[in-house]
Amino acid sequence: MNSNHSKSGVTRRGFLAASLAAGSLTLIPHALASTTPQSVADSDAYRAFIAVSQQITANTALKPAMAERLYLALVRHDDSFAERIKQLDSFITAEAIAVSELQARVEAEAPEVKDLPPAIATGWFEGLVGSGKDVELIAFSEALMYVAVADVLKPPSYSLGEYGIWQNKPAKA
Amino acid sequence: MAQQTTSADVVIVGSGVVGSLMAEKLALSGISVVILEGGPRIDRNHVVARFRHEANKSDFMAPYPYNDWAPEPRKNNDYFQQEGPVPYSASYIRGVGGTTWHWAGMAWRYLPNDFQLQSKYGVGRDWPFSYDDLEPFYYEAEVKMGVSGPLNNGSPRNKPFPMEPIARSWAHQRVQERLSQIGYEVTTNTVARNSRNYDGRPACCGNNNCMPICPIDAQYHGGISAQAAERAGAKIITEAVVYKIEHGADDKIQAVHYYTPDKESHRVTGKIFVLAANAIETPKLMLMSTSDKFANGIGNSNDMVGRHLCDHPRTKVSFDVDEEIWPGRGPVSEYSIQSERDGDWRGEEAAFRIDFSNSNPVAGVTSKLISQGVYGKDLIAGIRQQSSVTLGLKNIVEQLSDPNNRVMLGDRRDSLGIPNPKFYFSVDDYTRRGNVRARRVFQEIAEGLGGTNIKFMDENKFSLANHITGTLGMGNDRATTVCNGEGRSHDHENLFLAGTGVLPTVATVNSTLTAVAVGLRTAEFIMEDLA
Ligand SMILES: Cc1cc2nc3c(=O)[nH]c(=O)nc-3n(C[C@H](O)[C@H](O)[C@H](O)COP(=O)(O)OP(=O)(O)OC[C@H]3O[C@@H](n4cnc5c(N)ncnc54)[C@H](O)[C@@H]3O)c2cc1C
Ligand code: SF4
Repeated sequence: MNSNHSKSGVTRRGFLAASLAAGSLTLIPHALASTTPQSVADSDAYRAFIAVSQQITANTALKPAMAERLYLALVRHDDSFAERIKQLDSFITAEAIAVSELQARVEAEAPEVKDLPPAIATGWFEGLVGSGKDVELIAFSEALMYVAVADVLKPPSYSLGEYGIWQNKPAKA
Repeated sequence: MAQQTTSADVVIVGSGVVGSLMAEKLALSGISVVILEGGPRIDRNHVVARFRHEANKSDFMAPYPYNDWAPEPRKNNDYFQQEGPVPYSASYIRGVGGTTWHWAGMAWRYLPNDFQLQSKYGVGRDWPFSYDDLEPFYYEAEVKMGVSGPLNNGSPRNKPFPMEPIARSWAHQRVQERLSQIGYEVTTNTVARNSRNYDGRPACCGNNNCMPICPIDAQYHGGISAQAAERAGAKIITEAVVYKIEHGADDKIQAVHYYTPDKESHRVTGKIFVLAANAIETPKLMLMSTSDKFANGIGNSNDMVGRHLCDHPRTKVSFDVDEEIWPGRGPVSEYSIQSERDGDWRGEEAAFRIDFSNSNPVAGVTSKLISQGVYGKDLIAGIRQQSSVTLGLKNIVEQLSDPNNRVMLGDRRDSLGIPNPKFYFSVDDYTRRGNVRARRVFQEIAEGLGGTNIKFMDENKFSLANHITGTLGMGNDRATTVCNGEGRSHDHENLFLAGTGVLPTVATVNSTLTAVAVGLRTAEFIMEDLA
């Protein structure tokens, strides 16, 4: 799984992180949102999941394979996920909620779906779904937390480069 | 139960770094050696793959196989039973090569004064020999394990390190430079980690995964020691859980008995026996091996086996530095402060060394931000910003030996019917005073680095360090120690003890290099006995 380290993939992630850091959020993958994978039963729920994901990840170019894996895992861990994600998406859209106030507003006004934003964020950024003993890894090197720092750090167990490369001042420091 | 007999000149229990390097030395001198190892073989690439697929990446044990016939302490398992006021925690691996599969490679020597704590400062215990006696064996261990380090670290040496110190990360350089301005000297760690290609293993390439597994063997581990032992001619029998030590009418050890995972029993005879099953499992095995004559267990006529358990009951601090240092580039343990390891005050309060963490902080930072409801651009920016400035420190603090702190046999049993270990553990005022001083030093360091968001650990909590010492302590006083300076049991002349348990004091450094040096010294007495 998630071991696709093609040269172009790595460069792309590095570029993405750099551009995100600079605040130029130009990569919005509309194609992704409009195609529901065959493995997904409820295409409305999937579209809602993608829409919420785009908010939570600041429209990072979400990889279709990871989106599918994450969605299926969330459904597997929570029978009510498909129904509740539609509810969360409708709530965000109807109220035009900015992501910066999302958690506070959901907790106050739609507490029945308050667990979904952190679950989705944890999935995309940390590559984890579920909690306690049931926690499941759906991504490691592709987890967006590592993408966010890819120009400076590598995920643990992946080489930073040749011996001593860590002596250099990181470009962003 | 089938009984089969194997035999060798020297029978070693445990294939950890200490048992295996002793086995290699003995086998190279022409002695026949069998190692009985309770766990299975461990394959590095398999562990790396499991690490990458594992959800709980902060649990260093998770990528290693678990076997209920050779159980080990795990997060949330109840292998350790507790009796004392402070729960004793440690982790170790039961498999070929032992616990140094997941260590940080820190390979410090003790200081000369660490060997004479009682005569110099009136506290703790003295060693039965001096730093100078051990110096050549320290060097032998450093060459075997491939140790790199800087010259001025307080432990005198007759020969230079096998390797130059590891290149310093940007974080290390910045912290070193800034703390020198407030009078703290920061030193690059002495580590069993390659700063160049060494002994057929590559130079470190900064994977920052030294715990739980170095993917390229740039960091030395016990699996490499076990391979060296086998190459020298030692035989390793795996999945052989030793459960009984048998003595003869002359009190000499005649055999050890082991179980296979399906509880078939085997007997192994030899001329000399070495127990190197770590500082908890070895005393456990001795306490289990009772006879009419040794009703309290083998080697335990004075009731000292398992007592005087010491570790480093550390305290910690974390804060944000006022500049981007980006920890997480290069190895996980890189640099430290040595100045608090010895001084006139050592009769009153514990000495310590200060360790700076260089672990990749991204996962912890991300999980904290998400729990605060931070998403989107703010989350991405927060991950970058907080990961670039966070810094963690801990103190490797001395604990004095107290006979009440000890390993005992518990009443719970594993799948072979072998008792789990039980502990009584407490932390005295001497160590607590050391931690109070450490918090003052932490505060100065934090201020020197423009620290904000300073978080100290609760002063009544202790983070133990897996530096398990004292339980098989060596010494000249037969009434209060388990073995003499050779590592020889006071009760059984052909029984030797090895591993971190024989160190009578814990000092202010990680224990493994000293345990290996002492083991290599013990091997020479075994060679003399057999000559
Ligand atoms: C996370 C972590 C980080 C660490 N970092 C450092 C560090 O940076 N520097 C440092 O100096 N130390 C460090 N340590 C401690 C270090 O790992 C130990 O000091 C070292 O492994 C002790 O070596 P040993 O050979 O005595 O025991 P072990 O390595 O534990 O080996 C004992 C062997 O005996 C076997 N055994 C046990 N019971 C039986 C039985 N009944 N029958 C047969 N075989 C048996 C076990 O399976 C094992 O293979 C760390 C430990 C941990 C857990
Ligand atoms: S930094 Fe990487 S290569 Fe170097 S010792 Fe640690 S895990 Fe091995």
